[in-house]
Amino acid sequence: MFVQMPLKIELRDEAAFETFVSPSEQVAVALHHFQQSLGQPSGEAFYLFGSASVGKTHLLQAACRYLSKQGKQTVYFPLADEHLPLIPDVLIGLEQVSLICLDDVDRVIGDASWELALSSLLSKAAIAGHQVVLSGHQPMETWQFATTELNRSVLNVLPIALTPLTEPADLVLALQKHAERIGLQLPKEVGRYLVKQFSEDVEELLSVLQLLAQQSLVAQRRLTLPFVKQVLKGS
Amino acid sequence: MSNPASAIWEKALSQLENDLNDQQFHTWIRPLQAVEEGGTIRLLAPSSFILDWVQKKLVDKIEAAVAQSAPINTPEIKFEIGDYALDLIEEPEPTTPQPLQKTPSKAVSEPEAENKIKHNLNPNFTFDTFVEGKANQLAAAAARQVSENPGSSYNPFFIYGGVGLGKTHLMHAIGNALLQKNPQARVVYLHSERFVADMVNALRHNKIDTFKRFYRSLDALLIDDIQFFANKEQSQEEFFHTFNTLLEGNKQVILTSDRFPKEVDGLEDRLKSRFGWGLTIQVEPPEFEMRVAILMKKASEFGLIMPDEVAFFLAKRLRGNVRDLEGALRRVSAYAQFVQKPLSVELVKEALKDLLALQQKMITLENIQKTVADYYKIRVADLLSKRRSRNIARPRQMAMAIAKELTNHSLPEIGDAFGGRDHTTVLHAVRQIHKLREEDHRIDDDFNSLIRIITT
Repeated sequence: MFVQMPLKIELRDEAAFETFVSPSEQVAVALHHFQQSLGQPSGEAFYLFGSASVGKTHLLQAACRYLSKQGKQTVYFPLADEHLPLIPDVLIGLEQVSLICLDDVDRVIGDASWELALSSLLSKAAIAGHQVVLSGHQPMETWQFATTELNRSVLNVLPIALTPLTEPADLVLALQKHAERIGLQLPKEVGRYLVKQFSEDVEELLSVLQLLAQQSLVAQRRLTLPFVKQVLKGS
Repeated sequence: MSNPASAIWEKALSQLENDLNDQQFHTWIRPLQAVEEGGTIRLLAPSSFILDWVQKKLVDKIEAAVAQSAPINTPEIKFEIGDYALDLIEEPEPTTPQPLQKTPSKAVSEPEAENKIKHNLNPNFTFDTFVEGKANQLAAAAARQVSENPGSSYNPFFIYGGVGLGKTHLMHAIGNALLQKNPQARVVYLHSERFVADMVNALRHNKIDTFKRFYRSLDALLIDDIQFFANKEQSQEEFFHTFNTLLEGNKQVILTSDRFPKEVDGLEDRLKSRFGWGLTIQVEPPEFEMRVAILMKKASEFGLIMPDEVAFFLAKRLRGNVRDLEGALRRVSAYAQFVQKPLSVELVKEALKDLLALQQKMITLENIQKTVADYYKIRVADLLSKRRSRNIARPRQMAMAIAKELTNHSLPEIGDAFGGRDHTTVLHAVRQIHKLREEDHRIDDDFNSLIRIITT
């Protein structure tokens, strides 16, 4: 009976659990628990937080993809996207969906209407046994709440702190996984070269990989070190 | 299904258990399922997070353990994401084709299909999982009766009380019990906002007759938080007729609200009056013993071993409601899993540090004085003054007793904060309030309400 207005928000192709590299043992355990709990009728809620480029959006979208593959209904809303006409009412009725992912949720903290809508969604989703996954930059304890309702509701939310990848080997592994996802093989030495030449920022490295992937397709060449050097020299 | 782990892997496991510490072994090695195929052992990890970590940190140890278990013809180790059970399903054994069944019983007949309605009931909310205490035992007993004799005297059944006290749980428990007795029963649970949204959509799509037919054909209608109907006249009108039709047909209606029906602003008087026709019952916040019982029960549901001191600590610090307790426990449980440590008060403090810090920030002597003064509609200055009239002295004693209960301040410190009073005055106040709480339920209610206001 209830009709949810669909919004056309595409999930990134590469957003999958398999392409995510955990920066530490504790994060790996937490994310394993997170993935295992998806789709269970537990009504658990999670808050993935950390600085830019730690993979929050990646994990939210991976969770959606993971459950969608099991035939479950999921929804992903980037709350910081200024092109979307998102208002607090967009959350009404979402508890009927198996998984609700709200990216950059700390953007709406401090706005009473959003906080009430979010608090209501969290309690109704818990009753329905459905999951809510939030993401943001700051730990929840630093949030300046405008309402006591949300302040109380977030007690039910499990925080998972994400940190950036700093080990070169992890960055290389992340590149290799992304390359594999698009059907390319990235030798370790090429990965090491890219990490050395560019930054430690995963997003930036992935942009370079995207460029290399396009050139590899055009030139029908593998991602060998000479080829990569040649492409990067020319660009 | 049994795991066909080879004898080699079993031996390797024993070796690894010796080589690694408990945490490493149980977190990373135990979840692996081994499948032997010829000269290879495939180790299936339940998620990429496990697989990655094992490949990054433990490959050498695993390979060494396998080599030690099978020094000759050492099998090759392959790591994959997967599950043994699903692995088998992917490669089904050839089966003899079955003749086509012609029995109509297999097919869903039309009336059956029509009866397939979405109950929206959470199967975990049952009477068995509901923890009873003084605060809710009446509501629970009445709910049981409703589930045994739906549509009879307790109709409508109206439960009211603050958030997170178990109203929704009881409602679902009745719904689940009705379905258990009669799986064909047309039972629907929904939040009042959903009823409104459904109606708006039905109007927009010219389906209001279908909407009316659907809700009026139910055996039991469970609507949560009816205070959200406030000021929505058309929804109230429609709900009024649905309500009447169901009651006339002896169908059960169950409603919840955060306050007594007559106190819900913006609801039509005729609705408020009808809500009072059946049974209206309140659920109250759980007392200390009940909070401990809830924690113990939830812990066992989560598969946690909860030492008494941990339950007492949590129950003492979290006085709000059942939902808060469950939320805190869920967090503690996840944290214990993440760090692979047993539950202890220290671990709880670490897992809930943000919450406890926030609480600590709220529970100051100044805040207690301000809250108590607001509650009794007097000024903070009155509490600190020398005035000894009953209407000032009693709130002052109450504030001192609460300060003793909620803070770690000593009696002299509390006395100092209350206009430089002696510690024996504070001690007298604490004893006096304790005595009065036992004699006069209004004092006890005031004490509990104030504690709740200050701690949540």
